[in-house]
Amino acid sequence: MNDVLVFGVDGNAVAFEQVKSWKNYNSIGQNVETIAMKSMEIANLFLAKDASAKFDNIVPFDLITKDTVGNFTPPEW
Amino acid sequence: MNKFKLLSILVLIAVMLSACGSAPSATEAPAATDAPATGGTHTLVFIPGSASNPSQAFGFKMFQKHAAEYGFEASMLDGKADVAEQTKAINNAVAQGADVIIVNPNDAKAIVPAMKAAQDAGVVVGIFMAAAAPGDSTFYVAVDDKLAGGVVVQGILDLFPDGATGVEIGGQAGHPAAIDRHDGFTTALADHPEIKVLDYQNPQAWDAAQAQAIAEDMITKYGDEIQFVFCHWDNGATGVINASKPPG
Repeated sequence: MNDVLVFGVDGNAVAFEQVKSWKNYNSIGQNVETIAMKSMEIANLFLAKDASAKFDNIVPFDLITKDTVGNFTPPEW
Repeated sequence: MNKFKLLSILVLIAVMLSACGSAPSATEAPAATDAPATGGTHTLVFIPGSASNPSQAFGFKMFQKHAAEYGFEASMLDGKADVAEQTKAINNAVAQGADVIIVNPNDAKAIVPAMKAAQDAGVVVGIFMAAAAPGDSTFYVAVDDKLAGGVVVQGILDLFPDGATGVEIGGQAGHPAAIDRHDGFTTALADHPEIKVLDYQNPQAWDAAQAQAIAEDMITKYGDEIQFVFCHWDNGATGVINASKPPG
């Protein structure tokens, strides 16, 4: 079972270690800090009744693999 | 260049392009470029599914870190991994006069009446790290969890071009992100009958010990038939890896 392909989601510090240490591990990373900030930005638009406020707000994810892990900084959590 | 590497590059390009706009890369330090011009201070209550969930605990830390930049005073009421508790927390936040409530729902459907009642009371209700149906909340901010499920299918095909068998360990039962990740995975699999999912189970919470117990049962049942595991969160995948390692 040591070479089983594992996919996870979050891209937290544990994920970075698992990408490096497990033979086939990939993580779909979501940036919690960005999502928190975006939430407050959008909330302000709604409070101000700004016409540009949108219901659906998608933040891009990062695909963290052995090939890409060096491109990212592990998050604090 | 294989498809998965190509997909990786495309994702990176998309992230780089988005970094040029309003959304920073998922792992780089974002800048508060969209701070409010409202002048006053509004109250924001963050209601995580569970404050003991590491992603949610870090989420509150980030609300606290940046609240002043956006003109908020941030506090938290714990959803305690329970829909009834989370409903109570939403009602309490409304009673306290919150201007904004940010929720990471424990259940995609059961929490809706409380969120609608909050909106009816004039509160802006945002969903955090999960999607929602229009009307259930004022807005949501999340990654595209359905697309993530499709990315997993592409990754499996990259390693196993002729197909493979494996298992899916979902996120917390009923959680909207878990539902969307599973839906995206299942939809993408419909075009690839060469990939077979032997089993799919959800834990009752985002709990690594529960994920490990599920993985151990699946390994006992399917053994080497398991060529891939899609686990909906990285800490849960730690349990999968622990279960996959040979004893001793």
